[in-house]
Amino acid sequence: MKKLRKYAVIARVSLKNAVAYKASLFSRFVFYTVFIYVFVMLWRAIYKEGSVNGYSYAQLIWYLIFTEYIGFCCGTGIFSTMNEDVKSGAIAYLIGRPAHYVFYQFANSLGLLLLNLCACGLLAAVLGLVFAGPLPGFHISVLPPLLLSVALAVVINFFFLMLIGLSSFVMEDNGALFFIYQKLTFMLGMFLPVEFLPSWLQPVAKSLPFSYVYWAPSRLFVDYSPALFRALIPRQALWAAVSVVLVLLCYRGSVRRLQLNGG
Amino acid sequence: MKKHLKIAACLFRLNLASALEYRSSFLTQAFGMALSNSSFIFFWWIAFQQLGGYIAGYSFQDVLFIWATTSSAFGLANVLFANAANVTKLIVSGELDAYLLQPCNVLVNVLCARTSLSAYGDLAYGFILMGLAYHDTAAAWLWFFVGVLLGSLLFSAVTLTAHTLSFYWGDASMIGQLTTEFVINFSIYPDKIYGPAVRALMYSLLPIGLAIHVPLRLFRAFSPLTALAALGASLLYCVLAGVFFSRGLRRYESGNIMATRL
Repeated sequence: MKKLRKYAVIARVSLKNAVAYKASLFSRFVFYTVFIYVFVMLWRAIYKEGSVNGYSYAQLIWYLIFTEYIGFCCGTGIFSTMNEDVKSGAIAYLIGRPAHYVFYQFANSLGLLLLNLCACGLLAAVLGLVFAGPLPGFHISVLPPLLLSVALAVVINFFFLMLIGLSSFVMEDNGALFFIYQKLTFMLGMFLPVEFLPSWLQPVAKSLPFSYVYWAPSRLFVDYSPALFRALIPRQALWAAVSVVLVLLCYRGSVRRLQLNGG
Repeated sequence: MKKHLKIAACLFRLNLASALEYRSSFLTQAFGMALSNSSFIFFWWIAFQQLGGYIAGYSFQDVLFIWATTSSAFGLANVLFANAANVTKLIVSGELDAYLLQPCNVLVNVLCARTSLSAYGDLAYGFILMGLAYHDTAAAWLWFFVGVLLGSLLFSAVTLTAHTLSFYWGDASMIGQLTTEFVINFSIYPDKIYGPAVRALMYSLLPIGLAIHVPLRLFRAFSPLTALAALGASLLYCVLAGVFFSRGLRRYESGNIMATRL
């Protein structure tokens, strides 16, 4: 309990920091709105040409608003922070603190994550109502399971990015790994629902962790059913656990390789 | 003019030599950018697989054309003039002083001072895409080259104009980023997906449509009048961007910062 309290303090300080930078929050709002506007215009044009299998227009717009919402929530810059810590040697100061480095970073990003979740959530709801109207079949009782799915998505994304950040212990330039991860998550859920992919690719996408960052929570949001919840949440939980364990193992191995010079 | 071109060529050589000094970083970033662009083509491939035919009047081939032109134009702009996106920082921090003291044109010196490693990936990606989609269509290649040249000038001019506002309003970095976001989004999607007001914007204040969508139309059906109008308007916009920067420069106050350009 005492251990948890110190991480709660770190999270509280990070929340205060995040709130202090109002201009940064405002600029994220503007960019989010621009992205949504462009996507809405595009999909409006696509739906004019014909219907898209499995999703109504309102469902698809809400789906995209939700994937972009998760994307903006996840925007904590953990990959560049990790890279910078390792390459600059700042990690030497952080691992000496009375907190586990991995959980320190998570708690330190939690403030921004929470702020994004709340503030961007309101904006996402407003944009969805403006561009697509109410989501058919949505009920407020869906919110708790949905929040669980979003939380698991954020954990999967955060720890996989941390894992790529940790690779800077062994790779001089790990930018390509970040690009590959980012594009896989974009292609397997963010820009398009997995159901739109060719039939041979769908099972592949569903067996990889990338779809569980954007597709799983967004699919639950637009088409919630208890059966879907039971199918998706265990897989998300599994990938979340795998990502945390992998980060802890890699961190332990990486710290052993760490060489510090100077005083 | 000859002197300016000589300075630009010299700065390009220096930037390229500096980029090649970190070869693995250079190749990784260029490859990463090409990969990033491919994910959008994947998106379009899926969209056309679902519907077939046309989206907002554009076929899949047309989308590949605007993507190739945008990618290479944006890449060329950032290979040659990457510092346009850095103008706000130079003004706000007072680092512009270092450029003012050198015996050459300030605008050329500022614009050409930096290159972007990932931009080489963008530049190459457009050519790869054209090679795949239009390998045996000479006319498409001609309009692609026209679009890339005009587009690179317009991308830089629009970015410069947005950042020049820092001379008047203080830190305009957000306007600069937003403008870049707008011009990219105006370029990579069919222009007819947007309403009339946005379309007017993409052919006037942020006229990137002249370099991306007009060459596609000219490739489909050539019209000398349209070609001349697009060329004239694009060049006029670039000249006005330069004049706007020079006017703004008169309002610049030195930051008394000690800076060196290596």
